[in-house]
Amino acid sequence: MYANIRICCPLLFIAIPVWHYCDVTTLDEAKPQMPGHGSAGRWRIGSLEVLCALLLTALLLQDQLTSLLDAPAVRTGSTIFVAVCVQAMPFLVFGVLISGAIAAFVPASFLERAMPKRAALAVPAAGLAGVALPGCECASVPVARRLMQQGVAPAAALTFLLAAPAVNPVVLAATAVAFPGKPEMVLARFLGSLATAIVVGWLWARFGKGEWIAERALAKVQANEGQSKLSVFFGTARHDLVEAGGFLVLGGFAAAVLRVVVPASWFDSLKGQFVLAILLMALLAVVLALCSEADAFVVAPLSMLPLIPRLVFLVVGPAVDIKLIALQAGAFGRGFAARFAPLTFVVAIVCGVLAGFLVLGGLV
Amino acid sequence: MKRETQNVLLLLLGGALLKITLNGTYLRYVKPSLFWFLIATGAVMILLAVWSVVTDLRQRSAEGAEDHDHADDHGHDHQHGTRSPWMLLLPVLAIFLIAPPALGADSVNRAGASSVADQAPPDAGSQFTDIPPGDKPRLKIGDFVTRAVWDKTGALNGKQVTLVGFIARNQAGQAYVARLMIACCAADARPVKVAVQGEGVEQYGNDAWVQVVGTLVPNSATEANNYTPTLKVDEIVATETPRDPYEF
Repeated sequence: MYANIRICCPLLFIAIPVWHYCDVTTLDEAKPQMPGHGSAGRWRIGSLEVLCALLLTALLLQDQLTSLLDAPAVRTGSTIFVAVCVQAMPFLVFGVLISGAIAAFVPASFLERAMPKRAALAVPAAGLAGVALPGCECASVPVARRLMQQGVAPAAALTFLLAAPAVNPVVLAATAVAFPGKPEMVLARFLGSLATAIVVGWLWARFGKGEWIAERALAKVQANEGQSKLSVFFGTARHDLVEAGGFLVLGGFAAAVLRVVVPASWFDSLKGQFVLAILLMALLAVVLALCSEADAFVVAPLSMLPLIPRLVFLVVGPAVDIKLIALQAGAFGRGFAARFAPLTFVVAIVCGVLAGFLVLGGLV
Repeated sequence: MKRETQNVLLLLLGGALLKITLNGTYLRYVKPSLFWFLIATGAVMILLAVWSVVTDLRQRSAEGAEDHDHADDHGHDHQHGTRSPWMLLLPVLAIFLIAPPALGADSVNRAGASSVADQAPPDAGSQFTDIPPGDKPRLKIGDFVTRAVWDKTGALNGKQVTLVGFIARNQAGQAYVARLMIACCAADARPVKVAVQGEGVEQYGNDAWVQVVGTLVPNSATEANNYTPTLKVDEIVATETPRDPYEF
């Protein structure tokens, strides 16, 4: 209880100016929204009031909350949850800064000129462009969305989205370190992931429908005349960060829960079952939601499995996983994610297996 | 969700990241090399939130009492507002209120049977980390296990070494001194462990950090026990949780 009071005091110092700020702004904002209800809106319960109430409740019940969460499994899950969030946030911030820069400083006409006109060519070009974004998958979602909004064909932007986290130099170097003495694994991963991105892009160009992507994904952040470029940059980055950040947290939460629920003995029962191993490793890649820079270190030691199922894990992971699905549903809409995730999952398994047979040769 | 609420959440999250980075608890979740990235991330979040607050306030005072229709610039968050930013509250609460501990014995027991030493180091021999000179040299548990399994020169045989880790007991009651090895963050942690035998081990419970001095029982790491070597303990003392609880 004493600790609670100790935390509450500084919180009040924050709360008072915050309250003042929201008070000033809610008043003004309420007017154009609800003409005639201006005065009634004064004490309406808004999101800020809810937030303050939540924070206060959490502080007061801190001891109870902590003891409630004191089971070993819950503790492990919460550590993994915070770890996923903390690990991914820098990459997400990097992504939204790039997204903001594209919105503010890259004119749409430039991108239109730079990209090949025909989708058949634009898609592989976008795939190769993915080599240049050294981040993991969280960074590429806001960037792909901004590219789409600036007039890049959706198929090409989606190819970029899939390629960037998997074929950039940082990820390939990490793979080389994780599989010492097996440089062919790096080549197989590069080919498998690039093929996945390009095939999905082509399929989307051929069969995809514009209306599957939520309208809000393509709506420009409204730029007022007279708004400076810097202000567009900050505004876009902030907007993307808040929105994508929420979905990232959701994905991290799902990953942490699944991690505690799915038994690790799955790995152990797979000796000698090639097809089953491929399917299960692909599913695990979705469930575990590892950062594409770390996944190679996780599968490298699983030497009871042949290389191809492990390769499939590396190809599927950066393309589809539970936190990516959450991020994509947030950026492009649920209808999009419901079609895109299964499509990518199947294509990634096929491309991973093919790249494995081609580069690694046989059932190694 | 209103823009103001989003800004407050962003401030809280940025503050939470800066807090765990500066006080060192970030090492429970990620690698030390992320330090500057986390500082920058927290700073950018706070900057974006403060920028938005200042712009909002400045706009208010510029417009004053004038009943001006500015639905254009403020309508945006309302029209396309999603509820997703609420989720940002979860890590904030988790960090400030619960501050989850570093992974420990539960994760070791939860992990499958795979071991870091499953894979032979390439070019066996030259790839091992050197054993530090002196009496009872301190080794990382990961290095100890790799050498115990693959070092054909027997450099560890009969040599007293010091290991630091936490106690993890499996269901059969066998005690191990263990550490978790991470590549990026705690989500990809893999356990490294050494079975310990000897007097004094039984008084330590799960997750107690200990420093043990002992010698390797030769050929104790076999495929049947998933390459887990055994250490005959000569000395075991409690020790503080290290600043960085993981191995790399």
